[in-house]
Amino acid sequence: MKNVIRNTWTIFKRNKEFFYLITVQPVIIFLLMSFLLPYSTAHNIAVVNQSHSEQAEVIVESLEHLEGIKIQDADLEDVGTKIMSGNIELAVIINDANSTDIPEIQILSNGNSEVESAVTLCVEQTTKNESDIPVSVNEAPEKGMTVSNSLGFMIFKTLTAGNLLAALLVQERNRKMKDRILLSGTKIRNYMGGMSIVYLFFMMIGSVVYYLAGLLLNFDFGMKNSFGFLLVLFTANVLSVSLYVFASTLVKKEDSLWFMASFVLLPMSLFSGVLFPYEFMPKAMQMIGACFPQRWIAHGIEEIQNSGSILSAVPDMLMVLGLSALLFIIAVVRSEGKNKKLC
Amino acid sequence: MFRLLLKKELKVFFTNKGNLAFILFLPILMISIFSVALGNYIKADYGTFEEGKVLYYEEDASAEIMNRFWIITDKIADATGVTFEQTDDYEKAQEAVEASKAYGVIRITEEGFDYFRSTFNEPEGGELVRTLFVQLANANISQPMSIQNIKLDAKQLDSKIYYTFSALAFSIMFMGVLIANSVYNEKELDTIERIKLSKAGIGGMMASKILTGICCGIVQVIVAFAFSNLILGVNWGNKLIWIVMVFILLILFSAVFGSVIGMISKNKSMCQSSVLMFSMLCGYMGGSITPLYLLENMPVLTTIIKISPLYWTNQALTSLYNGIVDEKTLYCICILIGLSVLVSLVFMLITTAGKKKFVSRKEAASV
Repeated sequence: MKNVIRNTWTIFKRNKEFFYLITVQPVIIFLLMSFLLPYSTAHNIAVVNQSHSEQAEVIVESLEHLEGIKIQDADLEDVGTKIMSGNIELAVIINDANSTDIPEIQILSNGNSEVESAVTLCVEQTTKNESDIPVSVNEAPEKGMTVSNSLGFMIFKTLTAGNLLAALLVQERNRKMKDRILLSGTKIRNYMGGMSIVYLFFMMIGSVVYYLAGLLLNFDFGMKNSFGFLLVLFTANVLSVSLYVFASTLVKKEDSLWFMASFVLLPMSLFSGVLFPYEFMPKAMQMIGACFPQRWIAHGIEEIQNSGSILSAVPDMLMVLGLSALLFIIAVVRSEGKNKKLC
Repeated sequence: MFRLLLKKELKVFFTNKGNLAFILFLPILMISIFSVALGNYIKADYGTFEEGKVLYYEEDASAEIMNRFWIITDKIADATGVTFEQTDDYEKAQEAVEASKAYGVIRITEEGFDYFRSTFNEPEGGELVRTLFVQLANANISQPMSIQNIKLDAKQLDSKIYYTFSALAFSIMFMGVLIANSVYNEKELDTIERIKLSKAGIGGMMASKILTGICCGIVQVIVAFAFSNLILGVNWGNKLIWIVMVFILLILFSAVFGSVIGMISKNKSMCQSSVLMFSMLCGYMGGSITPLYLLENMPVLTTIIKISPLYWTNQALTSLYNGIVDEKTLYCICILIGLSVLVSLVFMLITTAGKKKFVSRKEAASV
């Protein structure tokens, strides 16, 4: 096994493209997808202030302080179109009143906004600080962009990263390299295990790079201890390796491996939230998605985010590791079976 | 000769089961999955205050402060539906907040209110309730301002309508992969050399491939039209001819782009992945996957997405669906025609330069 590990280490270490694939590419995809899949649940509103009164300024200020909503730029003429096209849910329009100092306020909406009453309450109660009852709130670090936007896509990317290992296994089998290695007395499980360990190590480096990029760029992991995120990713790495070791026993040519990514993993990922937020999918789609390991991985991360404890992700991690072990054992048994047939 | 080439192309395309499945099922599959998966999200039905709860803990609070607390919390509960629940263990309540079981815990003392929120997983509903609480605690709540709430009589954005057009546009972009493959196959099988010698030449071959692409695209539009009308109940509106015209121009661009990439690619995987990546990027940035309004609300992205032809296509289709032929439609038409011409010109320049190189090398060799 030591020789297999040494050999595989040398093969991958020499391949510069491989290092790009495991280090730079995940970070690029992570950043790209964080921007291209911005499924925020913040409510977008617009504030059009046409008044010059001091009170109007105070209203705008208090709306700006309201967290959980985002204020988007809009002119009075655009407001209707923006509500129709979904860019904003409602618009607060402040005009000067004819007789009094108190401005006239209108709230335009499509009548379907969850936050209309809250925004109305905020506006109607806006006054300068007049109360003498102090309110203190505990400090919290400012949130950056959330990792959850790109999570589904990154899980898909992590799972398909085992492709190169499968390609190497198929190549060695087709070039009869594997037969020569086995003739030297190496057992199949050691041969496959050795290669998998090396590949897993490199994949874990990729996950660490992705995690560090998130930390350095101040992404919001939504966790008390973001190390849990990395731990769950490691289980995804293990699954990817065993999934592709298994796939290598199913295909004859390495070209067929893309079929697995495109026609097996991608549809599974679609139901698990690779492109759309899982929590908004219809129940039927969620139930299908819940059967797939991509969902177990994402669920593990969500559990840590919700509970604040890494322990809550253990059941999901165990399921992923269990499936990985099963796939690896099947792959070894299939390979041994094929080998016996040849003998 | 050209007619023969076109006939052969159409026969090859429409007898290939893979191509046929791609043309017939891809738009249906994409429209169905996208419109179902994002139905709730597009309605902005996030469940922001669903099961929202704030805990409070009394600690030597005066009657005046408690009275103030009740007024504030009643108003917030009315506006959001969030409940306020008393707790007698402050530390446990803090743990519950960190475990997402409550938005926050308010400790009411004789000095005032002390609001504890989670520092890492406070939801949007919690943020809204907290900031409202702080504002109301600081406000003069006896004199509310009068506000006029107006409901606009406008069509609601619907995922079925949105994705009927945007997912169809996305699947049309993918058709470029089939055209690119078909052109590349001519090079791989060396049939291109025979075509070069024939009357039709490279131009004729390219034109026949592009026309075939247009036929396939039109079939996709017809399939999507029938599916969205009969199954999803989406009426394409009274600007149907304009909508079809926009789609045909998109098909033209996709076919021209695919055939040019097929001609200039050096290997098959590069040929496929270039068109695929381009289509994916156009789809992501053009609002075919993530709704356009989300991308437009992102600070930098709102400018970048304008480089995608699908951005202009989806903008135009939204206007046309609403029965408006405006500048967005005209921009879209100009951009799609312009891009098709530009890609063709680039291809012509590359091939002319290639020919010149070839002739000069031949001359040098003969000297």
